[in-house]
Amino acid sequence: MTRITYCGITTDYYSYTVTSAEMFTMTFSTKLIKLSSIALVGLGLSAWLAIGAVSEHASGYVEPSATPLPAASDNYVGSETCGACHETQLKMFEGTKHGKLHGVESWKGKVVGCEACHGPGKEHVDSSGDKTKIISFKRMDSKAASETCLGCHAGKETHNNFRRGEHWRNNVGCTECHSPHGPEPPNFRSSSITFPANVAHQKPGQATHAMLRSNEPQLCMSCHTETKAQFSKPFHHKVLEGTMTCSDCHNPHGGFEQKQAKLAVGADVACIKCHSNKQGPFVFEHAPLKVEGCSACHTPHGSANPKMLKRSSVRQLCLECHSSITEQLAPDVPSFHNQTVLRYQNCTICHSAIHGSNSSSTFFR
Amino acid sequence: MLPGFRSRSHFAMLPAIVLTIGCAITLSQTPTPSPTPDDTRVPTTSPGITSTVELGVRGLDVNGNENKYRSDLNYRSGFRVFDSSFLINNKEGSNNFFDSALVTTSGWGGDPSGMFRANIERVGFYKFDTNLRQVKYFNNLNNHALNEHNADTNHGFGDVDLVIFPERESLRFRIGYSFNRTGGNGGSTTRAYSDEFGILSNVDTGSDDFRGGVEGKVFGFNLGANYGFRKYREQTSYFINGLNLGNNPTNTARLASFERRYPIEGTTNFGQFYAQRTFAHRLDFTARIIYSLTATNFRVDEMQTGRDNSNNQVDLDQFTISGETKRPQTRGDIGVTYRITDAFRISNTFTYDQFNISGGNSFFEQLRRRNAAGVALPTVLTSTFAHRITSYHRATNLIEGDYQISNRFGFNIGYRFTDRSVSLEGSDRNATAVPPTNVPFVEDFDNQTHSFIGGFKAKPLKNWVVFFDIEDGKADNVFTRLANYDFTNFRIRTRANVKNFTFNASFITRNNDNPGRSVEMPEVNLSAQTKSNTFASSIEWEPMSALSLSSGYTYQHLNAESDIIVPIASSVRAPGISQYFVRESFFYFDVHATPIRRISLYASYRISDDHGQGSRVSTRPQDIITSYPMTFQSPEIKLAIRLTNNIDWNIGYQYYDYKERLVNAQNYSAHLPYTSVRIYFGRAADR
Repeated sequence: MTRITYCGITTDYYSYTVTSAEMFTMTFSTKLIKLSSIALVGLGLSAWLAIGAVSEHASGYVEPSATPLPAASDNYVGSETCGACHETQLKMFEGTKHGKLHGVESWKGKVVGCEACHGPGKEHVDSSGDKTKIISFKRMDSKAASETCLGCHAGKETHNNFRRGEHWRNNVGCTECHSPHGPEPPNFRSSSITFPANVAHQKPGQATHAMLRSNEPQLCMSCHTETKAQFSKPFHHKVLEGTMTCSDCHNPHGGFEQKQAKLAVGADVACIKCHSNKQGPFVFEHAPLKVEGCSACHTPHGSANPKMLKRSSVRQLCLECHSSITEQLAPDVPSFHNQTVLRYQNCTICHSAIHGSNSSSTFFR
Repeated sequence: MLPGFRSRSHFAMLPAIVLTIGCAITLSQTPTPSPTPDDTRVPTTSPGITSTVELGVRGLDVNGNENKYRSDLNYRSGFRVFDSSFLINNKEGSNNFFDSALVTTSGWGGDPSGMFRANIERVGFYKFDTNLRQVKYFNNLNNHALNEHNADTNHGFGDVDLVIFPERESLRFRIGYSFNRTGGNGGSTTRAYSDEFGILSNVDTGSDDFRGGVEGKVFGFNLGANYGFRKYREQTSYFINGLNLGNNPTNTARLASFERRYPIEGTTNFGQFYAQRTFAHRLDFTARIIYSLTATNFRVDEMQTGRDNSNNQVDLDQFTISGETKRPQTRGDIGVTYRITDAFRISNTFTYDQFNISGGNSFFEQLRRRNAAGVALPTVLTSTFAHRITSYHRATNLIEGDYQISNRFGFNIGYRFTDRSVSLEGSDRNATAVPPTNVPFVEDFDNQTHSFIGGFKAKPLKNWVVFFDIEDGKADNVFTRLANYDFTNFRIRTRANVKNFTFNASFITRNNDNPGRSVEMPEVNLSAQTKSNTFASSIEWEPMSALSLSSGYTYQHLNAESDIIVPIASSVRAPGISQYFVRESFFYFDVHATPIRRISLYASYRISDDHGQGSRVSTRPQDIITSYPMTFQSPEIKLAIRLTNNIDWNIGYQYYDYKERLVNAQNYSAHLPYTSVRIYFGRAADR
């Protein structure tokens, strides 16, 4: 206790040492308040949105697709009627999964066929094919067209976040990649012996299966052109060779993860699915592995650098963090690691278990 | 000459250019065949079989550094199935086991990587997908880890998934299995007696994943619950063959024998639950929660003999280390999108991720030595206990809005807030010290970051689209540098189609700036800056059905500069600079031509050329300036002769030329001639 007299007033000051447990409680409380505030704001927003939605629902808005066939279904003419004019589209469509839904027990009584997406066709037929009397996706923007697809596909876990994904954000809709009528690929053309050819009429591929406009990776690279250069570097994941696909690591339909990356084995990064020996947990974690992810040190698409590292010299990569940035999480390089000596320029020669170790705090084994 | 390429001619382009010109001349003299309307073909989705397979033989001649060739490419000579595709569609309503079955393969035989995929389904009943892959991994490089971390292994991995009633909204079931197997020979290093020793290993790791789940619709909500389990095991053993003098030439240390067994077993149990509902086609709500628990336990048994750095004979140096680690992790995510009008949406995405890694080991070492005179020294026993806890939590909230002004123009803006904390605590207890010691420590970080996003998509013309987006703010990549990053990412893409011509271009910049100060005294500046600009473009042109060309050019310009602190002599640590440069040009073109009905040609050329740091060299020992200047090019030419409607005969040649502008350059060139037949079955023969 310290007694201080100032201006005639005497006050007792008690010195108080905060224990680590109390510090934890204080820190935790502060975080709890922050998180609670965020959650409350989120909850309020959700409630506001829900009220809006319910009132909208009360106004009589009707979902256009995947709904039970209305009692007064006189406006629906059936796919056979559509096929009288749109024979080619119908022929292709019939072979797709979309075209086979009418035979599925759980879809009995629902709108299937052309009108499931294009809406009731009676007016269109009665007006001798007036294009304004039918839903045409050619005239829609990408998001509006995608809303129709999401009427059925939004409930699947892989598609749940399409409305909040990178593709959506950049106005890339479902039909940019998928052909809902079933794609009809071009004729086969002679191609590289190391990079498998795209889907062709004579060579069905994943595009045929997933109603894509072309195979991966050709489809993805039609926009992400820069990745072709990355996958052509000396060290790369075998994507151009067809062994891997873009969607092995990325979810093109969006997700909660950044760069639309997938999760593996629960909550781990996508890399861990195949590189299972890096999953850990290790007694001595190399913190970036789990905290930052593999891309803290590696360039996953490809690199000229060995091990697809971000730097051509390993010590350079290590020193950029281990330079007195922190005391424990990225400890400094000891002064005896003389960088003018070749032995010390190859960090992983000693620190060979650099991804994490169970036996050595310095990653020696 | 494209910017970025050196002026010397790339002779390897010549055959491809000649071929292209030849094709163009031939085609100009050949009457243009009447195009076959696509709608006269039977669609691929119609009942029947469509199949093709290409099999043949490849030769190989490598000049120069074969180890680098194998590390990069690893194509081998001999027979192989280049690729195959088999599709069978059954008639609808025929009550067959499947509606469609698709099997595709590539790269089995002399290739370093291969895949087998099968997709079989009966609409309304089941959907079965499998994807099996194999990669032959070879690594033997003189510019990485003193060429002591090598590998010659096989990695097999695959997934098998089955969904029951995939189209049923009310109830669906899914089960799946995945596996990883890696085996072969490897190399590593071990550290002992102030020296490092290259050691060999028999690599043996594997994991098996099982998963199952149920999905359905309850009270209008799409719900899903999944459970998964991974079993991981590692049985890799390490050893040496004979006397090993180590890497340090200045001391007496050597290993006469070395053996390490390091079995690891791990398990992961995870559960995932999600809910989604779209209210009145206006409000979309998604939530997901994942809980996983990963645990490992291990035991190290290591024995070595030899001589230490004090010239004592080591009769036995034995290590026994065991312990376990656990990592519970919880992720929770909520996404909400409200479509206020048909053109205006607001979305909010909240994610929370939290884990604790807690593990410890007990370490025991017994060291028996004799001095140079043969007198036994006292046995040294060391017993320590270590414990570490890494705690992490991260909460991110992104609120964004997008507005579609017309079907030709839409834009979006958003704001992201992230709160993250990382802490590391632990203790090291030495039971054999006198008196016993215990060194606890704790360190933590807490940071909040803010960033803004924005972008638009414009469609100035029916066949011309422009995408633009920008993100600016602070990132929390603390381990790239342990403070926040000021970053600006900018991206613009455009795509245009005019008849048979497609043009694509993009420009991407990523700039990061991270000022900081050292924690050690005296304080010094520790800033880190990365500036990356990438331009990419491609064109595709199909002037007639018998000729198509595609070409592209990508240029990456990267400057990375970080302040570092470098030990440059015993007890001398000097502030220096780390610089890394990329100046890479990548160019490719592909030509397909069918000058006459029975002959088709393919030619391609690819080149990556990185000038790296150019003439920049470090003049101080504390400065590190690096890059990877190299040229990697590969022309390919292929001639396909249609023998019958069912068979094509192919002859081709592929050439790789790799040159790096480094000390001890690992240059190589490889000639890969091949011949093959492509066989068409079923409808594929209707050409």
